[in-house]
Amino acid sequence: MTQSPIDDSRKKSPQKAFGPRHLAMLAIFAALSMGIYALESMIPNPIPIPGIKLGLANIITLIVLKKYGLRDAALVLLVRILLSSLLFGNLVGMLYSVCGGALCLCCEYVIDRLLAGRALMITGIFGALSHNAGQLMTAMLLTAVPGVLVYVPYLVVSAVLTGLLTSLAAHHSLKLLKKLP
Amino acid sequence: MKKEPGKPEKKQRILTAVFTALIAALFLLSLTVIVLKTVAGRSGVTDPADGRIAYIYSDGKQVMRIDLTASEDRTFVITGKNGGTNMICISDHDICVLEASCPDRICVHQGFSHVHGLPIVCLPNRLVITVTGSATGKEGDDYDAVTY
Repeated sequence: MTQSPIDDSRKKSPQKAFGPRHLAMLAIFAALSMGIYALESMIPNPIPIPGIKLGLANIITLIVLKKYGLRDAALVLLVRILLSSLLFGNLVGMLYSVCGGALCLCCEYVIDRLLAGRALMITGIFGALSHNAGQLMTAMLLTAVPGVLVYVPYLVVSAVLTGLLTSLAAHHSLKLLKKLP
Repeated sequence: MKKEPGKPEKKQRILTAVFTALIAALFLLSLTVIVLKTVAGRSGVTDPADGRIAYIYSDGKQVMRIDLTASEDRTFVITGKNGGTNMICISDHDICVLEASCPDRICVHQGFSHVHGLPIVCLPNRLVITVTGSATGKEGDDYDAVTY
């Protein structure tokens, strides 16, 4: 039960069962990402273009992905999307979040593996890009109006900027969180 | 974008460079498209009453086609998927969303279509309003403007 999670900072094949510490950490991260998500939704959006947002919760996704691996990041992400959709009454938007989030996480995982954990900024930017791509694809499917494709360049530009921002934040947080189990 | 200290293996260095180049290319391309579109939109905006037609799509189906040139000022409500509502306002030959039941209300903040020339989108309620005509149609139709 007591896996030594200290030297577990990267490349762990995730533990089979959740130890209590591990579970608690994941819960904290899930709560944190929900808090960040709530905070972000309070910031008025200066650019009224659908799909553009800071994506601050991606910081947590990146941190958990780097520290605990894909499975745990997926869990935290799922908990965040489910709970925040229920809490903030954005149930309709859940499908967008799930599609965007899932694609984002998969992309970040693959890129992170390809880069062997280096250059988190690239991972973060690709994550943001794929998140927007996922949401846009959902929008295409749901609205069935190809006109929404006009937004692609706007979404790409915003994804590069916000992806850079969030991955920088994650990068520096990870440095501080090194001692964390 | 960023090389960590230490010696990344060759393959990863190449990959990093490739990814960085890819991001930079995408970014610049998009930026160019936006700038071009903005410039084209600016010069294209002459008179809002100049042969503009609004198409309103709800849940993937075109529910309305409004000739903005001939339209009179009015407001009406469209009930979309899951009972979400958008109150649409036609005023001075332009169209906007006045009120919406969705949480983010981006469609409301987008304002009049004439101002930005982009389709008005309410993702939660699956509502899309596209306007064709002189303002947006400078490079052809809305759909054809996306070529890459």
